[in-house]
Amino acid sequence: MTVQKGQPQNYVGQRVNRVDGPDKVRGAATYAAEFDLPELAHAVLVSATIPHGSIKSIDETAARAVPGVLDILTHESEGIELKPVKAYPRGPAGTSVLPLQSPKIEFRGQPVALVVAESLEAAQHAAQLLEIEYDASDFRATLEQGMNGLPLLDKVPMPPLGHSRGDVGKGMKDASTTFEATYDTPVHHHNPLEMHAVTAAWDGDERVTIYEPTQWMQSSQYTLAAMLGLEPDNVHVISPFVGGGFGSKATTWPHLPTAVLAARKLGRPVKLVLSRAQMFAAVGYRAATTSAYTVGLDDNAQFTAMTLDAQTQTGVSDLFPEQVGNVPKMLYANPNMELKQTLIRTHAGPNIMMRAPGEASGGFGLEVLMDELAEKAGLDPLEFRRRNHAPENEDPESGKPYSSKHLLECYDRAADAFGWDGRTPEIGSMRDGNTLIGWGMATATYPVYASAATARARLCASGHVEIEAGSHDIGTGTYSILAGIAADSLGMDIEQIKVKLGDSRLPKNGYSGGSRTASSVGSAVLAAAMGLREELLEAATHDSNSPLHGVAGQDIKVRDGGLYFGDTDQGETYTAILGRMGKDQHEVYRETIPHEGSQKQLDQLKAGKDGSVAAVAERYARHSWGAVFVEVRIDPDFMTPRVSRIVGAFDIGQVINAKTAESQLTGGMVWGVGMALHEETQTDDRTGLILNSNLAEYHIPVNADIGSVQAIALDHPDFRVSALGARGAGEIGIVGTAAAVANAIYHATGKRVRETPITLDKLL
Amino acid sequence: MTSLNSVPLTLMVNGQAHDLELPVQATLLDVLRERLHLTGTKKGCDHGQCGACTVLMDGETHLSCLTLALSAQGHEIRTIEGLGGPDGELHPMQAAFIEHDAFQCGYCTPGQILSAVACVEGGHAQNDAELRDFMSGNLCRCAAYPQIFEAVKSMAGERQ
Repeated sequence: MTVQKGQPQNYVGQRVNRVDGPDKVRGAATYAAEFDLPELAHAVLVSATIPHGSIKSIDETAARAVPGVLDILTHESEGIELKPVKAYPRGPAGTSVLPLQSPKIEFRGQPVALVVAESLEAAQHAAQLLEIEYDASDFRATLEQGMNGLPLLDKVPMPPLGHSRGDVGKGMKDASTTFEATYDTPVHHHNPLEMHAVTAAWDGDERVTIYEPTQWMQSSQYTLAAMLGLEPDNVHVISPFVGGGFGSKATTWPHLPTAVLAARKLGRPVKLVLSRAQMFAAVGYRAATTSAYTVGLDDNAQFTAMTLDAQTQTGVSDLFPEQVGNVPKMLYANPNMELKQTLIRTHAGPNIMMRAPGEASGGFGLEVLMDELAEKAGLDPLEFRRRNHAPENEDPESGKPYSSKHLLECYDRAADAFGWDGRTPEIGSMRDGNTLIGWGMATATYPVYASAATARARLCASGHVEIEAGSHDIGTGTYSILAGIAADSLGMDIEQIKVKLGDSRLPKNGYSGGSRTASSVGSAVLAAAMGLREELLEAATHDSNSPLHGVAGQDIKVRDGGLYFGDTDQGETYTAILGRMGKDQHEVYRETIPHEGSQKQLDQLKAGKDGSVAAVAERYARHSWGAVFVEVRIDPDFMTPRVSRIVGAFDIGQVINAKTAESQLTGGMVWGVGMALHEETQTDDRTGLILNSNLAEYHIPVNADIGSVQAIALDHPDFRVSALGARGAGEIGIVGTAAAVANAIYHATGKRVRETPITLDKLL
Repeated sequence: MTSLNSVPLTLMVNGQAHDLELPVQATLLDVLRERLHLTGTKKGCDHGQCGACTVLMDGETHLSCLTLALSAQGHEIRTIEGLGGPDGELHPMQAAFIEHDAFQCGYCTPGQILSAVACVEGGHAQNDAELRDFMSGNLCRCAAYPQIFEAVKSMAGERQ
């Protein structure tokens, strides 16, 4: 951290244990469903068992007869009206579909009733006794049905998602080789281990407190306020720990208002925890995609043109684009590009962002395509990518210079650590005994989303400093990162810093997604902590009773919880300064505008929007970079691919906590393995329902699936992105990894699989 | 119309007896979380598929979501809250998880740690493959598997 020359860097950039670690390993971290409130009632949600149609009748008799049942909410209930809201990105809600407002069903798993009882067991039992009859209608449940079926739902071309440059027709004519291929990715579900949950407690009719796991407290706050006609300040959201989110907890979903309505109706707190099956409905998903490419290469194996015609799935009422074009339109030097994307409406429900939305799915197609082209050109896959590398001074998409780009160094570092030189190019040429070995690689990139942010730093008489930010730690290390930044800014021990997150009454912050929290909220905490230091320094140097009276500010250093003249003992602790100020605490609040942003982003943040600057900003295109190398081992008789080794090198700007950043990167790469080999939400064509809505059949990697995973983070601060020089680590790990696995499988077996997951039936 | 029959029973959790009156179908997991407020034991699937609800019963790992509270009577139940020392000091496995950053969101962590303790104490960490296999009943969606592996291995090494 080059905050100021002479700044101690005891924490920033170092490997620092998580400050919330002791609570988490003790089971003492309190997640949303773990707040015990007096008179708490338990709710169970009932979900639609058809993908499209309407509710014909609901018989509540048996359910209401269960002892302990307090109420059942359905669309026939009175006093539960909700006002309309807009879905992300137009508004902060996950969907505009309101629960329990009409008998209409437009997606599988849509909430249709809420059963509330004195005990969880009674609510569960009664929910099973609720008899609901439906009038089922024809449906389109999958991308394939939407593309190929009768036009029950429209297809929506999205010109704003398109991109065009140069002259593709001429580029194709100039090509010495052309190639076409189509790549598909299926529906994925986020499946954080912690289920979505909400506990709602009203204080009168105008104020409600909700305990909810969320990546964006303001989404819950503003969505509920709009639905219920409340002042946003009267919706208090508490979310200190979030058991994973990956995008599903970024926006609000229809179960949230149901519990809030029930709590208001009953006049007592209500807790609702979704079931794992319900985590596959109405909390978003990564949409299925199909990407059709045509490319031209010249004699030097450099791109002359590329077209990408992408079709991606979405829901009925809301249009959320899985932006598969994000990576192909900018990653390689190519003068002529034409990108089109069409959204296909389906009765699968609202989709939403999931870890590297668009980049993970779109990066798969592009990076397998690159492997295919390298082979056609007779080049090593790494050499082919180097040959098409886009220089630092020109982003192919925008023509602008990059803020910072060290992709070639990523290639070098990862290839060296992996031992890529030892690869023999022929298919099936590398073996360990009978086992086929395949080595594959891919490029990774992820855009920078930087938001306006706010934070407060408070020195307390006890000598510790409180850092307050209405942000979130979704496993990303926010508590630890912010504590480290504050400790270094003030020259304090990290244990003297107490970070408070996860409360909507703390200084406002945006969405914890898009790998933005460390750089955005970190910048606000840096400003607040440095502001606190400046004000204490000012107080000391202007106080004739201070040993620092009259000393010039630039000669003063921070250490040991105080201010000292150079390296001498002349100085004093912060608490001594505070004592002479006659205060028991001193606090500083700061707002930060992201680089290349303006007051506009700050105003947006304060109005409950995410207030972010786009990756391609006024002066610079801002992206992170990476290279992933993978080894697979395949038994030739059973064709079961195993990923034995991964090495990734990433250029993500300044690393704030090397330990937690590494975990983010390795976790992302393991997600890439899951995407390549395991993950697929399977839908029954005949019923439109999900066949594997559980963790036994929706496969994610387990410990035994994962071998050695090494993440190398380059250390090039990017001060064109943030004051910290940080860009973000949360998502880039998954980008590219799935393709690297697919390419390694091809190298081992000669089977080119252009879709995920690559299950053994596709290799036999 | 069925009603919920409640029955009296006593559960021994972390060395403490709890006299309870429970519906017969109540799971050990829901009783720990909702009635005893021992929320360190987590619900991740309620179907025995994720391992987040792992507890030790008489020293062996059990999935508390698939265990009826009734059938837990007469057994010594140990949850994450009972793993550390009496003065709050961390169990060495808990310390190893912190040191190796073997978690991110922390939600699967109590279950991972109890499985890890059973893995090492039961001698199931004799080699890397065995360790990974034993720990594969505990899903980690943040995918801290390499770090979990290192944490458990460090403790297995201590023991040998």
